[in-house]
Amino acid sequence: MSTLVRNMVDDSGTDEEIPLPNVKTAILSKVIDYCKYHKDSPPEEIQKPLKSTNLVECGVSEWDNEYVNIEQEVLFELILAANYLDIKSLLDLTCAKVASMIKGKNTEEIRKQFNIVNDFTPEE
Amino acid sequence: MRRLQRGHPMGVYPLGNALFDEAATRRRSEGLGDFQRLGDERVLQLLRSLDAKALGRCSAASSMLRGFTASEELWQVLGMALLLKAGEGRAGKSRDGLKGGHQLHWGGNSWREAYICSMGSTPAQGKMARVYSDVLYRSFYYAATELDPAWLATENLERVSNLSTQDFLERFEERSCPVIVSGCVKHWPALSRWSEESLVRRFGEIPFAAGPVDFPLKLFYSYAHQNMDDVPMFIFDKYFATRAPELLDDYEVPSIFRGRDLFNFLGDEKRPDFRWLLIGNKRSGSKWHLDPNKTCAWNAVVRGRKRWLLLPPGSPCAAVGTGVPSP
Repeated sequence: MSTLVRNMVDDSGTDEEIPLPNVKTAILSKVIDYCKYHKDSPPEEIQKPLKSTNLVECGVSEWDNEYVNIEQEVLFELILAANYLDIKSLLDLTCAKVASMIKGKNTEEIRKQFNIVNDFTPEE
Repeated sequence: MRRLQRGHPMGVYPLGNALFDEAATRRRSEGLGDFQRLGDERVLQLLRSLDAKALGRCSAASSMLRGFTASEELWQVLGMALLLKAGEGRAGKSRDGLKGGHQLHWGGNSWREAYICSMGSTPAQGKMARVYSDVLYRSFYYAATELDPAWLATENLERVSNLSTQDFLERFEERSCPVIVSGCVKHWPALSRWSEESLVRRFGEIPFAAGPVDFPLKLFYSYAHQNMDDVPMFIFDKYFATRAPELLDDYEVPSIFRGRDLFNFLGDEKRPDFRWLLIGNKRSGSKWHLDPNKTCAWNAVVRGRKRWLLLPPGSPCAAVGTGVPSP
């Protein structure tokens, strides 16, 4: 499921260690949970733009929805890991989760949630 | 004539320019907040899941997010969704046209401006704080860069005129050799009838295929004159003979190609697609490709100019790949 890992295995075989310096152990463990669950059942494509803040209504399975029901910090680490490991479905899921956190909110709530500073001048 | 912006209209600059702006680092950090650790590509990726309203709310959060949410690719998707919906309305044969919903109108210079205008609002104008991002600047750069004439200076395709069918067969067709044949179309009515003004007058409301969507012709020309796309959409329509059958009277198959269309034996119902209308503005075009089923084709330019780049058979060109597409 990880294109990065597959390419490394294709190049070096399965006896070589695969260094993944950019992924913390706890996060890698969570990624492996995802891969194990989905190895024989690829997830559905998530419809864009999201039609609801509830991911299940956007085509995400209950398991996947629960999987990304985690702290924002961990969710962002997962995005980076999925990107680095090149696991498209996990990247889509985690990005969709963050998008669902933006969708329901007004501008001030978005700023609060993601620690954004309003830097517009009064004219702007 | 397509108007190009000199500077990015939303105040976006390449990342390296941030070195000259003392406030840049702080503005990026404060303006992106938690998103900054994801990197620009991921921020853009998660914005792709948002609808126009959510993008609007994000754009008001900070100048950095305004720059990101203004990215044309986001609004092109939303604009094309309006076109698709309009197409469904037509297919449903509703006599009232689209019931509810909005139609795409091309107001302004970009998909973003067009979408906002289509919703009945006015896009914000005025001076914008600078946003530094190569990811955001990239597509604008490709769209705004003038092509170096030196890249197009080589002309080594044989150009002939007064070619007999026999000559064409022996010198070119049997050798799979491309050629430009001059003078084949000078008597076509299309030369005068296929001006923009005339086509829009005759077929302005008729939709023509441009990739995944259908554009009413008048709307297409508005888009083609004023857009910021680095890969402009172009009309590439195989249905024109049914959508606008009068066009068939404006041209004819050149004599050197007549009488040898073997696919004709299959009849119109069974034969693969065989005639297309192409309309596009400057810098529109196809990528490297092999024609479907390894067939040959003739193309005639009626308005403007078209640049052809051809590789001989067997050229190792990764961009083309090994698959042979079939319609």
